[in-house]
Amino acid sequence: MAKLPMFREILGQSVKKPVTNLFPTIRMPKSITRFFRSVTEGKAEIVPPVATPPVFRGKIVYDRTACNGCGLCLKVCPTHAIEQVAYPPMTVTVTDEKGNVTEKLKTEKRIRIYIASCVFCGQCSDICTKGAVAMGNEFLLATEDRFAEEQIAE
Amino acid sequence: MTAKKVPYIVPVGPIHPALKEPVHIELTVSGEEVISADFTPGQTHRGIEWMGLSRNPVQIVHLTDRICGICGVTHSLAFARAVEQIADITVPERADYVRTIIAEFERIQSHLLWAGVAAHELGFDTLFYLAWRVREGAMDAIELISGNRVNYDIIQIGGVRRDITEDQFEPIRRCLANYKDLFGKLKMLFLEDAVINSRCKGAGRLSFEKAMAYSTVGPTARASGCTADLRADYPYAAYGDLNVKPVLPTVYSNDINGDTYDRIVVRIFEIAQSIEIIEECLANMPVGRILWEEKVAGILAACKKAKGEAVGLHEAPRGECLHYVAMDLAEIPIAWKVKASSYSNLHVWPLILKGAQLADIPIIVASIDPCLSCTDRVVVTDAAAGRTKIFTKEELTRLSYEKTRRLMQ
Ligand code: SF4
Ligand code: SF4
Repeated sequence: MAKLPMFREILGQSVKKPVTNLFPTIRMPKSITRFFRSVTEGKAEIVPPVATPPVFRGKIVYDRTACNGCGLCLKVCPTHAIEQVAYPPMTVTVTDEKGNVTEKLKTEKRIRIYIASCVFCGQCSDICTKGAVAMGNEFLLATEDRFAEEQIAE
Repeated sequence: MTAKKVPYIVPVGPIHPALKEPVHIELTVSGEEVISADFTPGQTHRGIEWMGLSRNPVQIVHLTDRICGICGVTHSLAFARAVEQIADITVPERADYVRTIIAEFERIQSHLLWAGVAAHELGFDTLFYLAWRVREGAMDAIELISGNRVNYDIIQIGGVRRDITEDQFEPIRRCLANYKDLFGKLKMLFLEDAVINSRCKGAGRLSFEKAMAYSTVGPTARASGCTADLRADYPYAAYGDLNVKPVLPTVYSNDINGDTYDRIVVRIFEIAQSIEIIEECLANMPVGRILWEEKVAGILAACKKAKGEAVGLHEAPRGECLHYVAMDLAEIPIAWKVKASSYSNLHVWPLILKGAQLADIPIIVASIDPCLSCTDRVVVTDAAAGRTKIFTKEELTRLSYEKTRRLMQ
């Protein structure tokens, strides 16, 4: 008989618990759409994904109020996923010394991040001095529309 | 029956999702035997080098991470080394050690991934699952250090972006101890198995002379007896402090055949070598900074003053990886050229496929580790009769499985 060392291994494994995390359900549901619908309705539960590590780099969380529009992050983004936007454009009335009232369009610079282009390198969050961008925990980002609302952080 | 005597031309490729570098292989077969083989590289041009020419090195270093899905640190390390030479940047010692540790974990996971793929090509899927399950240990360690499993993004020009902290030492050591325990088992399962022995011994043989003449690199070259290993030949990062010796098939058997079996031997034993290297690095980890310059603006300023050209090398899991960079007093390099290790090894395909059987193609093609399981779609053209038969990947894999079964009986 030829040497087949795998046999013992298989026998041993057949009594062990699987190491795979059975995500999102333990058994294949008859209809996946119906399964997810009942999950949203709260009738069924999904097996949670494996927890992400502490330094995980997931979908970017952008805090517009902390950002000052300096544009440093644009300089390090390898994929040009970040663009600078004039935000929010608003009309302000300016009164000069002579008392003339003029209307001006005042803009503040902020950024917009296209998550679909982002490669999650985390350079932007490393360089930002204001702590306005951080790497989040979310990773289930597959989509058909790269300009969908949740695919753009602004 | 005359049609059978005509040599068939079997084009393989050019696109296969499992391939990192899509190529097109053309085989002339007579019956089951390959008479000659040829291939055309360069089927997928992503233009990543061109993209680099409108970006600064700090951006490019993370583009390089995406050249290959398995070699997550190889390309960025080679690129960073090239830029560091031009801009005269000295990498802190601790960063060198972190780089080495990540690079060796990458070797472990890449070799295990390959071992699994090789088993799959032979129809040995149990072993395939086992190898990939074992691989998760290295992936977890990488994830712990860098944050992500696949794209580590840990290299920065002039150092690394993440340090290995004290509390991470323990889980890494545990992971290594686990691999040490498993090593005996892996060795037995891969090298003593009767099926693997009969399918891989003598298949895809590459002689020492040919391996030298074709400038093969990495485990493919070492399996044929070439003692080429950048870590030993031109030490960089922390390899200068370590005593790395190229692994040859002689670690397991007495002679060097340069066949697929020897390539398995080399890769399996390189896993053991990598474990030792990481252990040594952890034990001798110097203290200090991990970046030459904390601020990206500082790195870019250094790049702006840099003028010259350099070659960055790294011994990737598949062999030597080369990045050529030229800079001319600007943030953006004026030239960037990448030569990945598989490119050097692909050239031996025509050689090692010659005389092989059709059913052996998947394992021989995979043996140099382009992770290619023949292909999705193979067209067999009967040139004389003008008929065309389409082989799907399943059929070709089935041929391979059937051969394994025949051998088992
Ligand atoms: S996110 Fe940070 S780095 Fe980017 S523009 Fe805003 S403040 Fe500057
Ligand atoms: S994490 Fe995304 S947005 Fe930020 S620098 Fe990297 S690729 Fe650009």
